[in-house]
Parts: sequence; structure tokens; C-alpha cells
Amino acid sequence: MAASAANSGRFQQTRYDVNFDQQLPGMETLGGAAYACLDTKDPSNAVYAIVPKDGAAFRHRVLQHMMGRTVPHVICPLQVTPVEIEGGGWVQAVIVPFPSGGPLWRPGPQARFSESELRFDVLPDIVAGLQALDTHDLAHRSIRPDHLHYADAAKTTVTLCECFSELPGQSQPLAFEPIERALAHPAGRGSGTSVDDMFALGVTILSLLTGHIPCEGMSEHDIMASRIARGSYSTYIRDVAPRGAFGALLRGLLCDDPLQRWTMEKLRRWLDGFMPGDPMAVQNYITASHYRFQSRNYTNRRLLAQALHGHFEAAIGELANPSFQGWIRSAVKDEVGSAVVEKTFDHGSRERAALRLNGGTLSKVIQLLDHEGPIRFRSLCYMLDGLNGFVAHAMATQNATAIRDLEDFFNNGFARDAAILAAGDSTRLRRIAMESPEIERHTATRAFGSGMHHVLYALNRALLCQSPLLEHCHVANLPQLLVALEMLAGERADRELLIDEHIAAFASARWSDCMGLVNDLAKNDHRPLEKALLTMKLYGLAQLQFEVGPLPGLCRHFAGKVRGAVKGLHHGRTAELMTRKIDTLMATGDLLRFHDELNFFNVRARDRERYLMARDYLSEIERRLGAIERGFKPTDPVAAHLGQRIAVGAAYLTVLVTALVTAFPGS
Amino acid sequence: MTMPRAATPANARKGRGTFWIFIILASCFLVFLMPAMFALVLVGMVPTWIAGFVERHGVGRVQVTAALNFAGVLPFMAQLWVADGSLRELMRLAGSVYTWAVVYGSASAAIAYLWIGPHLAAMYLDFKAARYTHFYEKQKATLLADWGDALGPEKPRNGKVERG
Repeated sequence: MAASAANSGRFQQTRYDVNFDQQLPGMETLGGAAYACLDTKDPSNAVYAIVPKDGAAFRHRVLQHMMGRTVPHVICPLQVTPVEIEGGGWVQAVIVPFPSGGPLWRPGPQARFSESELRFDVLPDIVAGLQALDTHDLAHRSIRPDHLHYADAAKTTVTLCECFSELPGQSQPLAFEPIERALAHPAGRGSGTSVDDMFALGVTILSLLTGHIPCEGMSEHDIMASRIARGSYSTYIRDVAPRGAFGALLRGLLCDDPLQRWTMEKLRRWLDGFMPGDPMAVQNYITASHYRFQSRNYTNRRLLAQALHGHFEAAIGELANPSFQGWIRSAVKDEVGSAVVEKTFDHGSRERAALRLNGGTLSKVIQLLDHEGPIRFRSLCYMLDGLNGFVAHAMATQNATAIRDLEDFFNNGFARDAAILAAGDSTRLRRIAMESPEIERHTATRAFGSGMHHVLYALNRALLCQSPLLEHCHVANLPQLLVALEMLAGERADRELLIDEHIAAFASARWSDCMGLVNDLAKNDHRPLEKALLTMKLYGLAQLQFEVGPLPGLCRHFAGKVRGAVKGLHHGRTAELMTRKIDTLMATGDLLRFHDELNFFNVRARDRERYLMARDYLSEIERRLGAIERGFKPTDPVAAHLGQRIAVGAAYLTVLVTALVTAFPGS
Repeated sequence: MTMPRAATPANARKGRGTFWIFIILASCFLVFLMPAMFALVLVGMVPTWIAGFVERHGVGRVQVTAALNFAGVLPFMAQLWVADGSLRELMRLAGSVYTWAVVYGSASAAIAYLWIGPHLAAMYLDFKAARYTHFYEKQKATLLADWGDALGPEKPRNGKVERG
């Protein structure tokens, strides 16, 4: 990163001056680096800047809803602004109020909060913040003790940290995520709801009370095994269970059943001094009989689902096992699940060959066993509302296995079934599940600008363009893309064509009007000239649509590409005229005008037509020249014949003259 | 350039037939009405009769011989016609060497005609070929001046995009 921000006038000057020399490790997240920032208009206004890390996807919906708003006790983004850096590029910085009071909690025995401190000083603020988020239908998904800060230097107000700069729940320790989301890949834990925040709040309260994070020192596998088998509350409360009001609060918040977990309403009532009842202990995942898989007996559907996913290929063969089919019929009791089981294993007893022994069926079975859990297929493991983050992470880390599995999952139509099962009765999740066919449509096309690249940008609306061409520029929208490309084109004239799969997918996902042009680009991927001209048209249309100013660098870039083709014209004078036209149009900086007035394809077609005609005419001339006989002799048949005719004519003329002389002798 | 085709044997046979029909009809006419004239033509046109009998390759040469032979006979036929076709006048004409020199001399001029004709034709054909050559060379030069070297072997269909 450059030493300091510079301003060359490419963007409007903002009031915030980001100091890239001064990083703020305490405010850094998995998705964004934090830098000190000065509000030049009001230096007393403490702010800092968050700059997205490579490949990190910010939470678009959170940014969209919270930008510029004042949500009490939650840090809200003030402004998203491109900040120019030394070396010519720029970064996309989100300016955020800085919590001047510092962190609320640091791990250690002295960091324990008393019940009264928590009840009267800390929790009211946090609950107010969460309730404000809930009114916007947003979940924070990053609640943990070290994400709580004092908003002011006097340490009178507690605030939640910002929640847009990393994927929901991505950096959360396993203990802070509800079981179903903890089972998913960290990048695919999903945006979730306030119910998930309630669980994280419960663990946070427990941490603040005890001074340490629950299950510290335990391996992730042991934590999850214990939580699934014994329940989260029992796993976390190992020594002495809090009694009284806080005991009830923790039992309510740490309930593993999302339907039984305390809601915001109950939490508010608790703060008001009421005591909502304890959640009912429902053993949703315990089965009456065990099933033996991979030399181990399972009486917990969730654990079996985990085991099946862990041994995915072996588990596919297990589907044909009649005892498994019988067991799952008895294990899955809910109405929808039973219907799906019957439909899936309908042929099992009669015609085994008709049963589809594939990953899709296994994925469905896993979903039936753990209906609240993540969608699981080979290396995939994501919550339905966490697909966007999972795709972003897979693409950013270039995880070829995950990308291949995603393509297989969608192309074979497995994702659609799994999504419907995972959505259950939730309207929000059903709406997400309905996007599966659209994703399938894109993954099925592996053309330029389509495929997983398009899915990546379509699902992550706030993701910056990940093109390697734009490594020094954070491109968040089409106008910025054009500015970045103009900068690149101006740097060096001999660049390769300034478009790649990321740019094409980014453009078509962010600006649906150009989808047709991107499809044309895909068809002409292996024709350099056609690709160059279509790219010029695409950028020209974007330049017109988004009212970006003249782009002389890009015009020069495309002129360089077209000049080679102009040299290929057959007619030298036409090529010369075209070169002059290119020089004239290039100076305008107007890409669309350049493309339309050059009209190169028509010129080339006409040149070709005229060339073929000229060639035909030349060969006809040469044929005729070759056919002309020279050096005739009187004895040649042609000359002899013609000579005879001349003689005949002369003879008849002689007769005529003689006759005239004879008839009129005196005249 | 399209060249005239030589007379075919079929054409020659057809021409010769017409020629002899004409001769027979004229003979029938003269032998009864003007026997002196008939005699003059019969004797004076001997080269033609010979040419007609010996020629086997078209009527061209016979035509030339006949026409020139007739041109030689024609002035004497006129004299005989003016003398009402009298045998005395015929005898007077037959007694003059000049008559036979003119009649057979003109017939023999056919040889000169038939010798000069092909030479003239060869000259004409050479001239015409030179004129055509000049015209096409000029057209070719104009084309090449307009298109330059492009009209050589065909260039690639798609001009490659210049890389830098």
C-alpha cells in the first residue's frame, strides 16, 4: 500500500484523508484492513477507514441498509469512497466512526463483569443495537466480546462493531455460532437472522461473566461433537452453572433449537425484570434405534449426517442398503421429510436399479437427517443463505475442488432439491432457493463472462472486480471499471486486450443491459479482432450509459488493436483512409463513436468483395492475354481462310468495277 | 478473340451445287437465245470450269477464279451484246490475241489474289492481336496500380490483432 493518499482529480475529493501508514489492528476484520483516517471537515469526528482485502466480499445488504444511517449502538458506515493511492491506483474505503472508548473486554480473569454491570450497563445498549438491526431485518452475525466497544471516551455507551466487512460469522469462534451454522464452512455460515444473534449474544454474556471464551483449548471437532451430543449449554457450562436470572437467560439464549431459543422480545422482557420460561428440552435429532456406519453406531441424526458427509463416496453406496432405507424411514418423522424419503426410496424394495445412487440423493438424505444444517455435497458445506460467501471464498482462494463441486452440484440439478429442503418453511430461505435455477443457467454455460464468475458477482453485489488486470484499483462499479481501464491503457500501449473473464462477468452481473454483448463476446472468444471490437462497443455503451468522460487512453488501446487488422485490408488506399480515420476518431476519446463510425466489419466485407472481383478480373485479363495469338503466317489456317475471303471480296469488287467501266465507258 | 472458321466439306459441296445449277440455267438461256455469247462464255470461262472441276476444298478459290475470269470476259460479252451476238463479231474477237490475253490473264490474276489475300489476312490478324494485347495490358496495369501487391496470393481472411 502506498504511503499516503494522493489526489490526481480522478475522483471527487472527499472530506476524509486516509493514512495508510497507520493500521489499526484492533479494528481489522477478515474482510477488511483498518486504517487511521482524518475527517478534514471536522477533525474532532473520530473515524477510521476499512479497505477490503483481496477477494473479500463485503455484505452488500448491510452496507446498503446502514450506509449513512444512525443505528444506535451499532457502528454504521458513513461513506464508501474511492481513495487514490501513490502509484496510480485507488482503493475503495468505507469510512466508519471510530469507537473512542476502546474495547469493552480483554480476555483474562480481571475482565469479568458482574451480573449487575452486565444487566444495567452493557446489555441494554447491545440489545438496543440488535433491536435496531432487527427493524432493518438484518442480523449482526459477529457478536462476541472483543467486538464490543465503548463508543465514547467517557466509556458510557457500549456499541457493537461494524458487521459489513466480513462474511457473516466467518471469523466467529465455533462456540459463538449455533450448531447448524457452526457445521458449515466459515465462509458459508450465512447471513442468518436475529435468532442466530441471540445465540452469539448468549455466548458473549457467558464470556463476559466468566472472563474467557467457552471451550477454549478444545479442538473444533470435540466442541462440535459435544455440542451435538450434549447440547451447547451443557458443553459451555462446565463448572458452576449461573443461577437465577442469568441462568435462565443463558439457558434461553444458548438453546440449540432455533424455535425454542429466546427471541428479542423475551430478552427485552428479561431486561425489564420479567422471567420468560425456560425453553422446552426437545431432542429433535435423537432416534429410537441406532444405525451403524463406518464401524460406529449413530443414534443422533445430526452426527450421522456429519459422518455421511465426511465419507461421502462411501455413503453413496450406503443408500442402496435396505437396512439404511428402513432406518431412515423410521428416523425421519416430519411430514415433508417422510414424503421425500418415500419418494426417494420408492423403488428401493421393488427395483433397486431405479434408485439413483448419486451425490445428489445423498445430499438430499443428509439434508433430511439434519434439516436445519448446512447443504452438504462432496467438499461443499454451506448454509442456504451463505452460498454467496462460500462462492466468494472458493473463487478468492481458487479452490478448484470446491468450484468443480459447485458446478456439478448446480449443473446436475442437485442444488435445487437440496435448497428446497433446506429452506423448509422459511419465506426468506424459499426466496433464496428460488434463485437456484438462475444459478444453474449460468453454471451450465462455461462461456466467457458466464459460469462461476458470473455467479460470483451476481451473488455478491458488493464484491469488487477480482480481475488480475485491476490489481491496483478497487473497482466497485462500471464507471470505476472504465476509469481503471483508462488508467491501465494510458500506462502502456502494448497491453493485451483489456478484458478478461472477471471483467466480463462483473459487467454483465452489475449491468444487465450488456448481457447480450457479453454473450457475443463469449461466441467470439477465439477471434481476437471481433473480441476487441465487441469489447470496444461494450465499453463505449457503458461510457455513454454512465456518462463517463472522454477515454482517450482506451481509444488508443483499441486503435492499436484495430490497426493490425486495417493492415490486413487488401486495398491499400482503403487501409490508408481507415488509418487516417482511426487517428481522427482516436482523438475524440468517445469509444462508441469510434466503434460505430469506424464500422470496420462492413469496410472489411466490402474490401473483401472488391478484392475478389479484382482478382477475378485480373485472372480473366491474364487468360485473355494468354489466348491472344501473335505472329500469324499466311499458311496458318485462320489467315488462309480469312485471306481467301479477302480474295473473294476483292474478286467480286473487280467484277463490279469492270461491269461499271464496261457499262459506262465514256464517263 | 474469335477467329473465323474454315469452310467445311459440307458447305463446300452445297456451294458447288448452287454454282453448277446457276451455270446450267445460264447455259440453257444462252444456247438458244445467243449462241455466240454462249460460245464466248463457254470458251472464255474454261479456267473457271477447270477450277470448278478440280477444287475439292470449298468454293472460295473457285469463286475468286470465276469472278476474275468473268471480269475478263465481261467487256467482250458487252461488245458481242452491242453487235447483237453476231458470229462474225465472235470470230473477230476470237481472232484477236488481245481477247484471249485479257480473258485468261484476268483469270490468272486469281492466283495473285489468292496469294496476296492470306498475307493481308496475316497482317491484319497480327495488328488486331497487338491492339487487344495493348488494351488488356493497360487494364492490368490499372488494376495493379489500384491494388498494388494485394492481388498476389490471397492474404489471411482475418487480419490479426496487433499485439503492441
